[in-house]
Amino acid sequence: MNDQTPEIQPDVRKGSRFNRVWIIPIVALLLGGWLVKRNYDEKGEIITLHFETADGLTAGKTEVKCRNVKVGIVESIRLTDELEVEVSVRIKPDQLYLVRKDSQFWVEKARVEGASVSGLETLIKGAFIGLDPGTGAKGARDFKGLETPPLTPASIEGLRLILTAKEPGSVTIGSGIYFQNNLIGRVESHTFHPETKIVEFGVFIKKRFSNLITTNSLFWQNSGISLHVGADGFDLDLPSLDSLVAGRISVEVPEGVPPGDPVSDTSSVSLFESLEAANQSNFMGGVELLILIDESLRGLSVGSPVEYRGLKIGRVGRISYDLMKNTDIENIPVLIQLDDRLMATHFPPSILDEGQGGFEKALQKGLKASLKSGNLLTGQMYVDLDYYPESPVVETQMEGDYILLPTIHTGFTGLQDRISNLLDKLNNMDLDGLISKIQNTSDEATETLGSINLAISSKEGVVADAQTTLQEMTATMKGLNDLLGADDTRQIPADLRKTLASINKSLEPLSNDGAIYGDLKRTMEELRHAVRSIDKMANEISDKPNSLLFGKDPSSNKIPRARR
Amino acid sequence: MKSALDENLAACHTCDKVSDLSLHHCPRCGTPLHGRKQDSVQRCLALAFAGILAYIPANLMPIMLVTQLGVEEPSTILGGVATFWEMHAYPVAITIFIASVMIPGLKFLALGFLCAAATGKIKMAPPVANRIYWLTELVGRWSMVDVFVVAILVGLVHMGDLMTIRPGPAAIAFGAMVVLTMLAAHAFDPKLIWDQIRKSQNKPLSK
Repeated sequence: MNDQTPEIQPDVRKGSRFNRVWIIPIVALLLGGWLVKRNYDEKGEIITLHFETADGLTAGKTEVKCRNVKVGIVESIRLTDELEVEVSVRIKPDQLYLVRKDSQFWVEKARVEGASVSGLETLIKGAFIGLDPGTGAKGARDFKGLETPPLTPASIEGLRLILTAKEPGSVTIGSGIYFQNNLIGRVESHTFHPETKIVEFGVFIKKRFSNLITTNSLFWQNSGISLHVGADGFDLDLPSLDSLVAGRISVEVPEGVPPGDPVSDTSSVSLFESLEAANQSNFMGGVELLILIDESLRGLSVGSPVEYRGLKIGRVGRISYDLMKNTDIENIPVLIQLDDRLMATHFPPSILDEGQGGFEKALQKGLKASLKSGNLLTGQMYVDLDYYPESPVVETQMEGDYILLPTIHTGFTGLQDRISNLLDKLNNMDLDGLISKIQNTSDEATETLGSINLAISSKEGVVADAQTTLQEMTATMKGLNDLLGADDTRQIPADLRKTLASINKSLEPLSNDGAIYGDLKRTMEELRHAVRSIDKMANEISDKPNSLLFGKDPSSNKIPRARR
Repeated sequence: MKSALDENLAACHTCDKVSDLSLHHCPRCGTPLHGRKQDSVQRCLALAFAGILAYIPANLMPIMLVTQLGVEEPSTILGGVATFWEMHAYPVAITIFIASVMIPGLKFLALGFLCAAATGKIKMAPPVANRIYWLTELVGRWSMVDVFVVAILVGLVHMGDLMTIRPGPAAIAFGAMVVLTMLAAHAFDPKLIWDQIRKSQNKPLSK
């Protein structure tokens, strides 16, 4: 076999000291080096944050997130000598640009503030550090962490306002801002300034709604149930549940008011406690008039409306004797302020032009003020302005700086006036004279009787006449006696008794076992039945109010009927 | 004592047919014939060195990425050992430590010793050297335990947002290390040890 195969000369080469196998460790080394380099590159940079507490933070676990995207991780937590928590955070290199001079860091954890619950996911996943990049220059590496999450990140466009209020009411962080019941923004911060005792709410309005807010917009707290009792019945206003719990702020431009200019960012606006307060503050001071009231001001207070034929045109500004220079005046001076804006829509223009001139004309026509009762139940009063052409014209008077507006008594107060007039008249009647006159008359009568007596005593014949008269009287008495002794007269008591008996008989049906009594008794019984069934019905309605509409549940005792 | 090489005979690597070395190729299957594995020590050392390189990231980098409720938590082998140790699960901790850290390390040491013995750098009693070689070969395939565990967990734990497990970069490194050490052990020709002994016993190693 051996000789059949051709001799193959071995190709002898000098053995190289290098074997190809060494490529494997070299490749492994290169790969390892590349991995190390990549790992190093991916590590990113360390930035330092200072917090008051490391509550919820875990080294090597807590993530740093920007808009919920992980950009880094907490590497170590250390307590400084000043007992401050120093958190070292490694930010990924490709996200390092997010760390700027005005970047904000805060610990995002589950928070329950007022009615708003946020960060619920952190209950399970654990807290994380939030990062808002801000807009400043890059390069900062040391930050002071916020204790509460910041407002909507400054990088999100929108309108930021500061609402100032004396009282926060139920408005808290997270309360909605509503424009005609549409949510347009939220309260984001709540700061109480102890020096000024003013509450400041930071408010963020979404960008697409920001032009709804103008310089004439009014903000007011709209929290809770409101119940109005008016001439038109009850008006119960129940806001949505969340605003009932968290409170809400309504914003609107009052009716009849031009929208005004757009509001600049971070401007300060006042927040009113209620719509009424907002409307009052919206008052555009205009003409001020003085009226003198000579009656009780009970029910009239500062802020009470001033109306012209039922249209609101102003309010009562002040009630004070200070308004008068003339100190020995009895009537109460009341200053009424007319709202320019309301006047423009609610008042005849004739008075508006040129103040004094137009006003004089109006006074000539009989413009007068009167107190009227706005609500008989609560006794609220308002000042009504109207023309009374038939009343005497009063010349324009000035009292200090104010024009004096004449007053007139009308309506309920007028009625009171007339009654008091009547009483006054009664009071003024000359009763004393009348009594003395009567006395005089009786005196005269006594005198007359006395003179008669005299006349009697002076005449003897009169006595004799009297004697005969007496005798005649005796005779008459005797006749009367006879009459009484007569049978017919004796019969009278028996007749009387008979009459009584028949009366008795006729009264019998009314007695205990009489027919009428029975009837009455039955009626009473029926009444009692009726009352009982009413009671039952009331019970049923209170048990099941809808039975009033849908009737009693028929299933309980319905007799099934066979189908024919 | 004579070896087969002295008779110019060699066994085929593929079919184990013993043929004369002058044939160069196995008459049965055509595989080139070698008296000893080619560049055995060098290959073994190179592969073992690559294995050591892979051993470093295998222990430093996370082998498993557990994403629990959105929070990713990487865990390294040694971290896992420490965790089990703290949980007082000592047998588990010891098992992982031995299987994943100690055995690969010892394997590199063993290969180093064998290579040194094969090149005559150190003297070693043949039965001991043989035992070491046998152990290295035997243990080789079992050091993949870690990778197996990770593979099983990755396949099993898929609970959506609740919990997911992904293999980390160390798993690849670990796998590579195990494969490299196995290849290194395979590349080593134990006959070299005997050659050394024979060399020292009867000085001239005639052909």
